[in-house]
Amino acid sequence: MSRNNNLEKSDARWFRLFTAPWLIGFLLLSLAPMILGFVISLTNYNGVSPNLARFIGFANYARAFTDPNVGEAALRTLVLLLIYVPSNLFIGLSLALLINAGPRARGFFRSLYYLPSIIPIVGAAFIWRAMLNGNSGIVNNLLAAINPNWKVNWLIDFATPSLVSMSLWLALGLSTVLYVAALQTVPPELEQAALMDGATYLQRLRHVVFPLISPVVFYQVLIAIIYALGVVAEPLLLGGSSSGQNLTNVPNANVVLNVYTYQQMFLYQRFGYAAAILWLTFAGAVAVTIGLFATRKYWVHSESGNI
Amino acid sequence: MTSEAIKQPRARVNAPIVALLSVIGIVILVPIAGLLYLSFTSTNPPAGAAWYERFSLEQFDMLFQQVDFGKYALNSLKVSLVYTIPAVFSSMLAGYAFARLRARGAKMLFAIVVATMLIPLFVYIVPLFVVYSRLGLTNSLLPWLFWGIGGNAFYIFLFRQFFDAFPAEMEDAAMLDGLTRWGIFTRIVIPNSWTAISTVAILAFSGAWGDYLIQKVLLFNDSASTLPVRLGAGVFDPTGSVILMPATLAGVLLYLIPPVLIFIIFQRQIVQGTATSGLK
Repeated sequence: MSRNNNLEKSDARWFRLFTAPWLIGFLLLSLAPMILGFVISLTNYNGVSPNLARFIGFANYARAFTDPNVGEAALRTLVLLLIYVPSNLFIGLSLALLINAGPRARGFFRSLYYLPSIIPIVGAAFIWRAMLNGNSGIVNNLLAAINPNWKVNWLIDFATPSLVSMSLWLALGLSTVLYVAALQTVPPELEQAALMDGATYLQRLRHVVFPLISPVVFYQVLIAIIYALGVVAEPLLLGGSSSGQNLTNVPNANVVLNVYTYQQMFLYQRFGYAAAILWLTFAGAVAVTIGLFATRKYWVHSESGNI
Repeated sequence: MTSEAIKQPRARVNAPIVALLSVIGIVILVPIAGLLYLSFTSTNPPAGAAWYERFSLEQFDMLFQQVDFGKYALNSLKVSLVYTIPAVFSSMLAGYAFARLRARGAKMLFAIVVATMLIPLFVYIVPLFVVYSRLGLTNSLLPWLFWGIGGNAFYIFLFRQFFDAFPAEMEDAAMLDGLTRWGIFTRIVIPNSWTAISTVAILAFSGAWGDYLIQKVLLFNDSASTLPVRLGAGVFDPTGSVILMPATLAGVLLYLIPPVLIFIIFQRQIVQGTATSGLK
């Protein structure tokens, strides 16, 4: 008994020691910056001269609520979220079902589809620019072979579809792999029993497969939402014209909240304002996440209650 | 007999499914084929040349004329390693503690780990830039060292899962032999965890190698810039006014080699590692 007690005490000591680097990192690199970000959001700090910064209360927040650009950017963020999240779910799940249905070469296709997920964002963005740019893009060249009059400025006139297609390409491997893994946990006997009962493919999918993989679907939807709300490097790198990187180069349709924040920081040196918009975005993200968790009981079947 | 009857239709649909999977695979690879094609073709091919006659290495020539590629590659390598090595070690320590050691508050701390997994780094962009520029740590590797030492929530999560599934008998025996937890960790746990260690190391390295925004914000001096930051600005012609898309793509192609090579060598492990991460 006493030995056990000693063990537990020493366990606790080692636990504190082993988790110390992470905990200190969390306090100094996550929690403190967040608090500092909040403090900055209450000032008119310009990022260069702290001596000139003064507290202006919640003026930045008030300004954000009346800034029509913030409203528009928030709307675009929401549109991006609403296009990206369901498409990501649909593509990942469909590909996984296909891979799972083909008994041979499963591993091969899984790895093949995963390949885009390892491409760094700068790589994907330049590939997309090379394919879609208005003057000499591959897509326009191919279209010109059919009809010389077809010349589309994809990155500007179809800025959001360009952005979403790139994001989906980058993400499809990861979601496919996760769904394949989930589908493999579905006991074949269950599906066979439903088949014997005369259930159609869609019925089996809806009533047998989906409930069993719903925790993974939930996790994936959560990841996709977080991703969509965090998108920023993608639109900045995709830009709009074929010239170089420029913060003003992002077509309006792709100026989502984070891009707007970034521009406020590095284009206008409004650090206080940028920090305020960041906090509002973060609050929105937390609200969406909580909302998603609230829907859990209606569609996620889970024994463990873990994510 | 019944199992035969059920297996039969599965076997028949197989061929069209494989065909469909292959078509989708080709579609997914089109962007990469485009990258290869543009990087290896001449900008001004002789008139009437067939596509295979356009092969040329001039884009790479142009790239190396305009960009000190080696310098940026070395900076990228430094950033990635300075992050990866401590990140693997710290995350492993914490993951082990969460899996094995009982302590009060452990549950709550783990909830914090899971919660921080959901926060993108962009949320910290303002304070991050302010603090590091005040401290004079922009254009330095130290921020990556700090992030590494702080560990990463996702890697902690992966290690905890690994140790949860890893039998504790050997460690218990060592404990009876009088080894401390630290001794157990360094002498028994580490040597028996190479799969988990290499999986996390691969993920951490590829993550740091592929990251763009934080490097762009913090490593803005040319001497400290990394490959993604330099290539992200585009490769320009000698007058500096026209972006050379094919030469930029040639640079991108070289930049992609390390992650693609790592993927080809360790694909089983990477795919397996990510697959299990979503299940629990």
